[in-house]
Parts: sequence; C-alpha cells; structure tokens
Amino acid sequence: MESQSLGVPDLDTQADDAPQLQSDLARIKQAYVNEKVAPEILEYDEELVDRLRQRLADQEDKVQGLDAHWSVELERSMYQLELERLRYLLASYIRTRLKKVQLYAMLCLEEASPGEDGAAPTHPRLSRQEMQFVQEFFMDMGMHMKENILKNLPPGFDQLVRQSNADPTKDTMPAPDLDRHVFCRVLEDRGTVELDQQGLETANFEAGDLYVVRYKAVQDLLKDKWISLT
Amino acid sequence: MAATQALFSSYELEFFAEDETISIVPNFTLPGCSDNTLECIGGAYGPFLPNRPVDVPLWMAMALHQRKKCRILPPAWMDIESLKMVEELERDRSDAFQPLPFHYLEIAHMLFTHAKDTFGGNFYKVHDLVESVRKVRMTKIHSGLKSLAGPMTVKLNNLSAMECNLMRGLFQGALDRFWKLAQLQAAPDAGEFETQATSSPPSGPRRQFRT
Repeated sequence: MESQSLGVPDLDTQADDAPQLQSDLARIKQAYVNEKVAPEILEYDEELVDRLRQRLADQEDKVQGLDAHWSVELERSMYQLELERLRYLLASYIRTRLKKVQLYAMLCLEEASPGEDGAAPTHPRLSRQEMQFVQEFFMDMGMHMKENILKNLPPGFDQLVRQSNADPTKDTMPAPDLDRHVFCRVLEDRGTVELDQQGLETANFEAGDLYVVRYKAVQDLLKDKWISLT
Repeated sequence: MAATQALFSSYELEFFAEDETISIVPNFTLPGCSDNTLECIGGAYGPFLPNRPVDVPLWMAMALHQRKKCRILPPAWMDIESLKMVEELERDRSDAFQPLPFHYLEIAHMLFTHAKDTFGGNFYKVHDLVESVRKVRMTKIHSGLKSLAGPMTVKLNNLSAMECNLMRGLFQGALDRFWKLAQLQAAPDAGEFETQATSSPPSGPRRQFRT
C-alpha cells in the first residue's frame, strides 16, 4: 500500500550509465542503511530509484523472454532471485522513508516551501510523491483526531493549531533528535574533523575508520558522501 | 533507550551479507547463456564451467548449493591457520580488533548452517575457532563499554556489522545520555551553550581501539 502511493517512475530519466552497473546495488543498499540509521529524513535519491526501477523492468522483460525449456530453469531462477532481492531493497528504502515521513509529518509540512502559482509545495529532501503523501496523511490524521478527540474536549481546548502555537518551541511537533549517536564508516580520508561547535573535540577521519559519533557532528559529511552510516 | 531492540534484524544482516563475494566450483554449464555467464543487475557472473572456480555473490552460491549445483570454497579468512592467528592476536591485543570481513559472523553462520560440506572434515575446528573469536571480541566490546565515561566519540575500527548492531542500543543510549547531561551542565539557564569549562570533553576525549 505504501509503495503504491509513490506512483510510477518517470521513464524518460533513464540514462546511459553502463559503467555504474556494479555500484547501483551497493548504492541502494547504502541508501537504505543510511536512511534507517539516520534520525532525520535524508535527501531522496530520485536518480538512483528511477534508474533502478527501469533496470528492474528491463531485467524482468529479459527473464520473461527466456525459453520455457528446462535447461534454462537454473538461469531463470538465479535472475529471479536477484530481482526479488533488489525489489526488497528498493521497497525497504521507500518504506523506511515513509515511516519517517509519517513520524515527522508536521515538520515536513513546516519545512516545505510553497509552490509557485498554486503548484504543489516542495520539500528539499522529499520526493514529489512523498510530499503528496505527507499532505494527505496529515489531513487524514487531523480529521481523525478532530473526530475522535478534539470534538469531545471543552471549547478553548479543541483546536490543535491553537495548542501548537501556545508554546514558542513548538513542542507538539515531533522532530528528529539530531544529537543521537550513530555508527559511521569513513569512506575517504578527511583528516581532522571538528566534532563540536567549539572545536574542542576533534577526530582524525581516515578511510575505513568506524566511529560512534553524534549525528549532528557528521551530518554534513554524510550529505557530501565522506562517510556512510552503519 | 531501547537497548534490547536492534535496528536491523539478524535476517536482514544476513541479507546484506549475501552480497559478499565467495568462490564456488560449479558442476554445470549454462547452455542458454552466451559465454556461460549470468548477466545480473549487480554485475556479470561467470563463466560457469564444471570444475572451474568462479566468484559469485553469496546468495547465488547458497542457491546453487541448495540445488546441488556447486561446491563452495571456504573463504581465505576461514582457513584454520589464519583463524588461529586471528584468535591469538585478538587475545593479545586488548586495544584493537583484528580485521575480519564486515559480515564475518553472518557468512560463517550461513555456511555452517546450510553448507557444512564446505569445510569437509575441518567443520568442527573452523566452527569452534570462529566461535571463540566471536567470544573474545564480545568480551572486548563489553570492557570497552565500561570505559565510556562522558560525552565522547568512540573509534571502533574493524567492528563487524553484527557487533555494531548488537551494541548499538548500549552505545547509543549511554552516549546520548552523557551528551545530554553535559549540555545541561554547560548551560543551566537553558540558553545558548557557550564555551564553558564544563562543556569540554573529559580528560580522555576518545577511547581509541586503534586499527
């Protein structure tokens, strides 16, 4: 149900990227693990997802076109196994994101910038489909809460927006805890990295190192692919 | 903190481990494929020719083995001699973990469970060695946990996927809490925390397990 709400991929974004054959699998896997470990929602890798979807469709066609003869049975089952593995990875990636989107729905809407000329609002890290999903989700959730809870509260307490605005820190809005510690692996030599604002604590990030570190300290390094999460 | 609930299930970790490469000796050819090679999305694997070792991902090795189509060759690190050496070094050097494949436990578990014949007569020896390596490392991780004493960044080179996943809750819980406490100490008035003596990391800023 969840992955269906993401609609069909754009077929025209398919690129000629034969040299990356090997790494697409590694990339979606890493994207999934990063997404699962990171407290906040990471940037949606649209290019990767679209390309992988296309590649999956192509491979499916190929397998469909195989002979029905028993001698290709082994071949077919290997191809099918790989297809299933990749489908699982892709679905897990999207599912993990949707879980976070639901958790931080209000924050997503808050961070989104309104679209121009009545266009749908956009969010820097969500896909178009995820943005649409979060809007619908929020509406449904709000209606449900109103019907079942707020309606039964005394007047003055029956408005969510009013409650939410009562506190300047917006404490009714769930937000990811960026101070959480994460396991991360250094992908490329980075040298000395400052781990707090004061620059009191530093670490020497060399390729292959594994650290347990506060997410906020490495947030930008993750974005620029210096590190990956584990 | 949910210290008992791991982020990834062990099945999922096995799934990840199944992308690691392993050598097999096939006993079949693929007449339907050009060059006896499988063109998968993750790459091309082959050529599959009887008695010619070939590198494939572990999932394929396990699937072929299940169909009795191949013999799996034990990976180099699972050689008895090298495992003995790893075990010894692991015991000798209390401050470092030996480099093993990131998914060594998962790989070992899968081979031990579904492809015992990979090791022939050495099965129990290899099994016991891996098990004792695991135990030594686990003890080290636990003593490492004891040394956490304040907000810090911990370097854990060569820790494996399964070990990370197991210890995640404990490390995370402890470090998160230390950090929060340090923040409270540094800024009792809940304002912007500025450079104050109390917010500096404790004497030993990082526990170095070293490479």
